[in-house]
Amino acid sequence: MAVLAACGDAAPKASAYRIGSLDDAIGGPHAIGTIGDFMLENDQIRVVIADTGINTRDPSKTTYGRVNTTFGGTLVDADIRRPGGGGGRGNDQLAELLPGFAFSVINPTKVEITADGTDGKPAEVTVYGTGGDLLQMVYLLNVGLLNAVNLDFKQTYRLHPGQKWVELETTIRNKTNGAHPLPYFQPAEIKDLGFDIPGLESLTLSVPMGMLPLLGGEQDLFAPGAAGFNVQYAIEDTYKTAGGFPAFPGMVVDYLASRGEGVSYGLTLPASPNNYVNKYKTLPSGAPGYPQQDITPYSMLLPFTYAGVAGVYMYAPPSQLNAGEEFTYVSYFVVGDGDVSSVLDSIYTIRGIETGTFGGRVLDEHSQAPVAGADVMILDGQGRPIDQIETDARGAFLGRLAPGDYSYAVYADNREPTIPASITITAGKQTGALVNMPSPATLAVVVRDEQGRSAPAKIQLIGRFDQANQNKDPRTFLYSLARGESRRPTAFDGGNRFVEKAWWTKDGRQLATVRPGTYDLVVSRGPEYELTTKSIKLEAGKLVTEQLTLEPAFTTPGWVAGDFHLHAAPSTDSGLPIIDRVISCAAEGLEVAIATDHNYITDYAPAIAASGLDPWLLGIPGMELTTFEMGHFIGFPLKIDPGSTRGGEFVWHQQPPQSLIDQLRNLAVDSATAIVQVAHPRQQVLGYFAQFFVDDQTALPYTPSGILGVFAPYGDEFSADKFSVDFDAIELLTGRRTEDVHTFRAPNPLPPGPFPDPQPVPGQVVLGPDGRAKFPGVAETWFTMLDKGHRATALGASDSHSLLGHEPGYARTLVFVGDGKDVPGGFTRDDVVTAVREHRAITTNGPFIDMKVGTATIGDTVQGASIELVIRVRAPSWAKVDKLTVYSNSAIVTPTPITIPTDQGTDFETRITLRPTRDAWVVAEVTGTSNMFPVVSPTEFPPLDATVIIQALSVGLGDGLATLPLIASLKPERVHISTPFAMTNPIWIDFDSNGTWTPPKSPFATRRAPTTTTTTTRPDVRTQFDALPEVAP
Amino acid sequence: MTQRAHGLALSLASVVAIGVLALTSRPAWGHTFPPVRTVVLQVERCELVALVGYRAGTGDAADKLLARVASRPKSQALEAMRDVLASHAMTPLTIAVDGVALVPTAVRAKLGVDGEGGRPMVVLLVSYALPAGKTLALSSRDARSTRISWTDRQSGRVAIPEAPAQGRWFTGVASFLLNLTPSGGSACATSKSSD
Repeated sequence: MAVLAACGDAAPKASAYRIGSLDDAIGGPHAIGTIGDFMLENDQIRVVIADTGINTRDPSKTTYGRVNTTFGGTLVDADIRRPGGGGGRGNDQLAELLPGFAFSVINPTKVEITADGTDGKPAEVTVYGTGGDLLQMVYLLNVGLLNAVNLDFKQTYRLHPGQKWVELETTIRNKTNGAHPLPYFQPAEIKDLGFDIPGLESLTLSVPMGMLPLLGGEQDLFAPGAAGFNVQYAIEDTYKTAGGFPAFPGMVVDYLASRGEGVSYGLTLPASPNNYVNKYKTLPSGAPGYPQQDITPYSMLLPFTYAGVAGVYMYAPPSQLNAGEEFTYVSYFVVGDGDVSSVLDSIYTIRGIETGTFGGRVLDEHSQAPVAGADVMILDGQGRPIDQIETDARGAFLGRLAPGDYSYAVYADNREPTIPASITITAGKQTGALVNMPSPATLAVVVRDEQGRSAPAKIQLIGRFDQANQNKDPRTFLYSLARGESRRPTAFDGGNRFVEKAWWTKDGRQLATVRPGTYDLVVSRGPEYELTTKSIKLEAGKLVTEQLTLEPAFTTPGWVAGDFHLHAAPSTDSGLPIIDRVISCAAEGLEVAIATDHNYITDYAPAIAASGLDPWLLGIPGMELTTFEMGHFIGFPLKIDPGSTRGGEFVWHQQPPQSLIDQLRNLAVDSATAIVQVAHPRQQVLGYFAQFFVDDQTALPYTPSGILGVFAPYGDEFSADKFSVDFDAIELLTGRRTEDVHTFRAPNPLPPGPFPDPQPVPGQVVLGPDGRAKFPGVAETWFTMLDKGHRATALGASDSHSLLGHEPGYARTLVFVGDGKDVPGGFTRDDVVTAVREHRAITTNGPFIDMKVGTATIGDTVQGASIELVIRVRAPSWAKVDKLTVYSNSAIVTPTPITIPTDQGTDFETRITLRPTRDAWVVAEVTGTSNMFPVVSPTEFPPLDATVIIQALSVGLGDGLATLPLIASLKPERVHISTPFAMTNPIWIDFDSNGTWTPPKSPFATRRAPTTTTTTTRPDVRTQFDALPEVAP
Repeated sequence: MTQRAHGLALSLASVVAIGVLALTSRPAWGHTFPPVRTVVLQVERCELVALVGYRAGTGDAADKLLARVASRPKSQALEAMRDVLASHAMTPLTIAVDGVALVPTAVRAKLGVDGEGGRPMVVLLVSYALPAGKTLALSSRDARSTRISWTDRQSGRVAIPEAPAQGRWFTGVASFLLNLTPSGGSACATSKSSD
């Protein structure tokens, strides 16, 4: 038999080469590969491995932190090979993939092509390096577990021709002449270091190794079984049943995958005797390490995940590496074409599993039109998701499955799901299904404002669920995150309202298909408008049209509303297209939108112009300079460098705060007037003030006691002398986190204890063992800065990364741009910047506070020893306020707090006379208790909480950890409805009219702090020795 | 859609939470204090200078130390204390180039008392000639008590990109390695240098 080969057919090849032109790069929403990085590609997929970033000729140009994590040598871009995808027009949505060794990573010294593929064999790129700390906060832990300083690391990325996955071969080598135990220290030795944990000496520790995939904000993580697409909460559920050490707590998964628009990713590994989960599935005590979890030969452990970022522990190294000994492990990174099924297909191939196919079409039950973009969820015998297949434009779907009995159901957000149906898959055979899916209803809405204009507006459908389900977790009955359904926020107030759908429109028009039902149609446009509501009934297959008019609630002459902290697709953890971001801002009544993507300078202007929003919205380019442990800093207005893959060049790794601030000013359009803003200053790990342990009474860093003191300062750049106050603004309220505004006080009555000493007193500030506020507030810290004469402007911002559930503009800042200028086209970017510099700003998530002394207003200085403050508060009826508090020089001014009568909750005015005895500042604050749903979603589910992690870790330690202060029940409540809040910036009072404002407290010694952390300034040890005093006879 | 985070670090913060909270502690009051040895290695073109500090532990360790001092004549008590502490400080340490231990060219010691607990402590300045070689290693047989930091004074002797970070403390390290540059040391005299 002759084998005929078509003329021109060439065998598939893989190749590795250095990127020499941006046309060679992949491109896409999260692509950061650039010239000098390494391309690894074949006929199926393309991936990019970043260079080291180290510039050996000029170390000052070393670019640590160019990628998402600290070091280079990681896999940063990945896409399928697609027609027309060349020239940087690909669809990379991967943030980054890197190997992890407990909490250490590779600090690369060299990246090279070890096989270029020209011989027809696999192409390879190899990274060599030493150990690096992913987070300096845990560097001591890294020493205790791994002690990477005496290890060499190697990572080989290998791509075979014709395959849709990259083989990852990771090696660690003991480069010393002695044995290297793993973990490096035994628990008793760790205890000798000072970590006195009760029961620690009886533990057996382990050193998990694997990968750290950052799959990107556009990707939805999927794990087969109990999790499905509900990975984050499923992991938290496993903490409750953790078996205890040496089995690290977390969720056991057979593989990890994701779904996204046009590309998807996955991770798996081969069966191995070193498999971490299998090694610890039975503890030394005989108890199960992972009770109630399914374990397979391919199991991996997910200890945590958050928005597409996951830790994946795969292997357990030997208990000891002898001199020169190596340990190598293998995993596979799969690239799919958008759904989980395309990833699972490759995993079946990797595992050599025989499969059958399941395919068919999904059609509308009435019209028989194809249903595109629906999710065919494959369920196991327990009804748990094990695969997801997306229908194409013709409603068709096809996927491979291992032989067995399954069921399937089809989901689409605008239709009721189908009832699960059973199928049986046989190896080598095809199984088909023609699915009729319930029809949606069609809704057409036109919204006009009070002037008859087609204005941007938000349109929502508010449904009501069965009252029998009140107070139940909506994830158990209203929607299934595991099966890929969208979250539907509820009112979270004991009632039964929920948001079925929300649209942010650029012109008040919306045509959409939705699930049939009876709803309230609600339209809004931010706090300056009331809600317009109409009950409607939507039936399957039928069209309903409505026209509604927005009713203004109040006006803010001279003031415009801005959101000074926004994310969109250029941020690794946001999948929101820029055009959707700008439309959402306008629809929420914002007039200014500052683009602040993570380590990326974004310009909203093109999207604003393309959507016709120029009359409504002003975009200002900015960036959130994002570090791991130093905090986040925002700068605007910034220039855009088209030659940079990030819009500008900067370094964030191991930089002291002054360097970060200076870099932002150097990136600005005008460094002399640019605004540098501290983002979420009190947020744990992400907040600048939190990371420097800034005291709210001194506004200066201190070294905490206990374990925090052991870890602090984490590095030279965290030393107290590096704390800089050279910023112009701070976020007083970020998002819906009103609990962070003020220093936390014990509630009355106290919840059940136990409580560590000092014992809390109802109404009093909760103190830590060092006598300082345990949860200091942003406001109190800002007040102290004002007392010291540091005039940082307080701002409100949303830090929004998405839409529903994290709406832009809540919080926001009202800035005074000038009388008559608050009209479309009436103000400029410079007017906004000037307003911030002059402190003419109000932090708010709804109410408007107009505060005056005569004709002087917020940001002005007045003179006199008797001052009459005129305060007028306006609010929409859905954000009524009920309390007014006035602060001056960090103290509450009597007769406030004032209870605002209920009938004046939307319009309240009062006059307060101040008689300061020294120069002073004064601010006004209003709060309310009304639920701002549906305009602002509540925080229904707690963020990843250390409490659940501690409970998992404490298994095996007896009651030891349970008594530690960190899991005490007395802490700010993170789960709550969203209630009204606003606070002004100060009016300053020159009480003795001498023309000088004297701060009531001693000012900061200096505004700027040192910028260098190089050790060339380290003194000669001889000099140090000579200077030491000695005990003499 | 799954909920979105704000910042990569938050996810890594959960790693921190797992790690840090696994090792939370109570203050160590009421317990004995272990000894502490700090070593700063300063690499120069032809010389290595080590600043070694040693603070004695409390409990049995202190009792034995005092017993040895008490066995010497009273007029030599301070000198005896200094010598005994210096011995404790240096005995577990070995500095070697390519496995060959270096011999100090100069040793100076000062005796003091730490400001916190009044425990005796010694500080030594030890100089070594730095020959050519591939690897400079500091080994400690008492890793638990030893903290090591190093600094390069533009010596041209150390392969900086491959070296551990300068100016940072490494705790519990039994063997601390620095790769030496191939061309370094050739211009250095082999006789011991003065301090």
